[in-house]
Amino acid sequence: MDQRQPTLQHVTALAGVDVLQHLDLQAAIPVTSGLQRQGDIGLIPVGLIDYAAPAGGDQVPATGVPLVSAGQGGHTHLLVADGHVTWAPIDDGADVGCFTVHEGAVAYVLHPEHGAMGHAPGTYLVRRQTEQADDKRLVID
Amino acid sequence: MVEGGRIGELTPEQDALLREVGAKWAAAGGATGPGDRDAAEEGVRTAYRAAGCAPPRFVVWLDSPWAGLVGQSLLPAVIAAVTGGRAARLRARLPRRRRDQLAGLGGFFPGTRELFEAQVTDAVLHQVTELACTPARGGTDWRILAREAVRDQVHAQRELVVWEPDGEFEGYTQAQVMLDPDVRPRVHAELVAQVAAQAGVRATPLKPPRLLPRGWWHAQPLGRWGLAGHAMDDGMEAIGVRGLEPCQGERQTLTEVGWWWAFRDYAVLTRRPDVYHRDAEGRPHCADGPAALWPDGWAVHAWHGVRVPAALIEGAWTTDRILRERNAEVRRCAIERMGWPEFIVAAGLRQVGADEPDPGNPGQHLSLYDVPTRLYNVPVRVLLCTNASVERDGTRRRYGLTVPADTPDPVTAAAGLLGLTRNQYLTIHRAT
Repeated sequence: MDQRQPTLQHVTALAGVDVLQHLDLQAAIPVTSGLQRQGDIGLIPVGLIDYAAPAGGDQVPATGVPLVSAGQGGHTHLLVADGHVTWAPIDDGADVGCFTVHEGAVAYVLHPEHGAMGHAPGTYLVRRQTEQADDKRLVID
Repeated sequence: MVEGGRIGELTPEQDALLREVGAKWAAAGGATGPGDRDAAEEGVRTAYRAAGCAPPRFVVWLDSPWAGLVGQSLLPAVIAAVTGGRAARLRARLPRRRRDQLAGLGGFFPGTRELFEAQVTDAVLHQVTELACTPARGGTDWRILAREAVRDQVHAQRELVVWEPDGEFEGYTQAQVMLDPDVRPRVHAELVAQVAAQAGVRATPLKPPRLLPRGWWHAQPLGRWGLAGHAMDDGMEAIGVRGLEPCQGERQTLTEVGWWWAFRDYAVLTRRPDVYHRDAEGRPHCADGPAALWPDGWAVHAWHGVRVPAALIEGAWTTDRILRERNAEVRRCAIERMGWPEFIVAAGLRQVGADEPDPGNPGQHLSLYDVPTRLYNVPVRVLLCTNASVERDGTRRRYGLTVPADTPDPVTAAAGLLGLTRNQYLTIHRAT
């Protein structure tokens, strides 16, 4: 398989989880180092906003890291590593944490409804959308 | 590990036990159905004994928190009438009822904090809180909503008036309940039957009192939102903290009942809800029926954790009704239930600028609309988006997100949701 053009099937097999049936498992997952959005979360290269990412972090386990756990019945954005990817949680309001994709690795963020995003080496901030409601409310999709 | 007589570090086994305790209490908070009545009543008797009292002669069951609150005020007079005892008649008087109540806000045994501080270090206290206590907090939500609903119902019953949502006082939801004119005879009849059975006498129908007793609403229920505190006690006991035996009875009762009241000589227990729906975040929520429903039909309606009038959920509020609603939070829920795309059209909201292509979401557009200032507590605009992923049926979901009122254009609005500038957001490669 071409490492640069993985399919959704490759990512679901990697994570050992399923996506909703209507998604095309053969769809190619573009791997980029730029800004991406998956539903209600932004995957922001830290360089774009000069964000000071926390130092360190742990290797993402084979089962992945749930970025935004939607609780019972909801869907989770799952960070999945193909190679050396580290995760440093922040847990500060909208900012969930940062992941760093090391040389030669690819990180994926997988969601049962939205499919997968591919991330080339670099450091990314995971940030939830925030609405301007009566108080600031995090967006839940 | 013990440090200076206090537990200073948890073993892996203790850690695992605490997680079990947390899971158990998280489940208890969302539990529905009749519960184990025998276990509940046994817990009541244990709690009374631990508090140095004789177990209650009468333990009655009612079907909802509301029936329970009314019932606890009627019960002493019912006991007096059924058993004919003079002492029971005295108990029915208000000062006596107040004095006879056994446990207040802190439950039967409020002194557990001192026990913890003497027997575990701060670090362990923190760990037990995280593992055993915090998971239980989510389960207290219906209890808090039920408290608000009972409060409104008390108000309605006392004033004998409810704001008519669509009548002269249109737009009020201060009292999101209807007056319950039958509650007195209904609950009274249930109490007479249960007390007669427990006293071993034949139940003869008694005339219900014309009014509820003075101060009938003054009674502190147990088991309301005290789950977290009991989970804490349970966790401490699991790791070997001593002296918590007095809490065991109340804890056993709590998992099997809804609200309950403990008085010298009598206790009133109420059923857990039969139905309890939550959203993905665990908040009380149901889009087409009660979020919590008790066997006597008493219900609480909620939209993502906000208590809303039954009519908002069971019927469909018109745009007019939404705009007339005075409570901003309820208004927001009503709009979300209708859906922003529909509300924008129905309310004729004014578009700000032109549609713009949605960056990273080819073929889709973003539109921005002004929201009338009276609609939200803070001035906002709403960004109408189209989901980048298709649904199962091949359609794309449209949804609205609120943004600050000074947002000039749709792309700036979408960028602002992620704390980005328009130019930063335009670099987006892909959205799904």
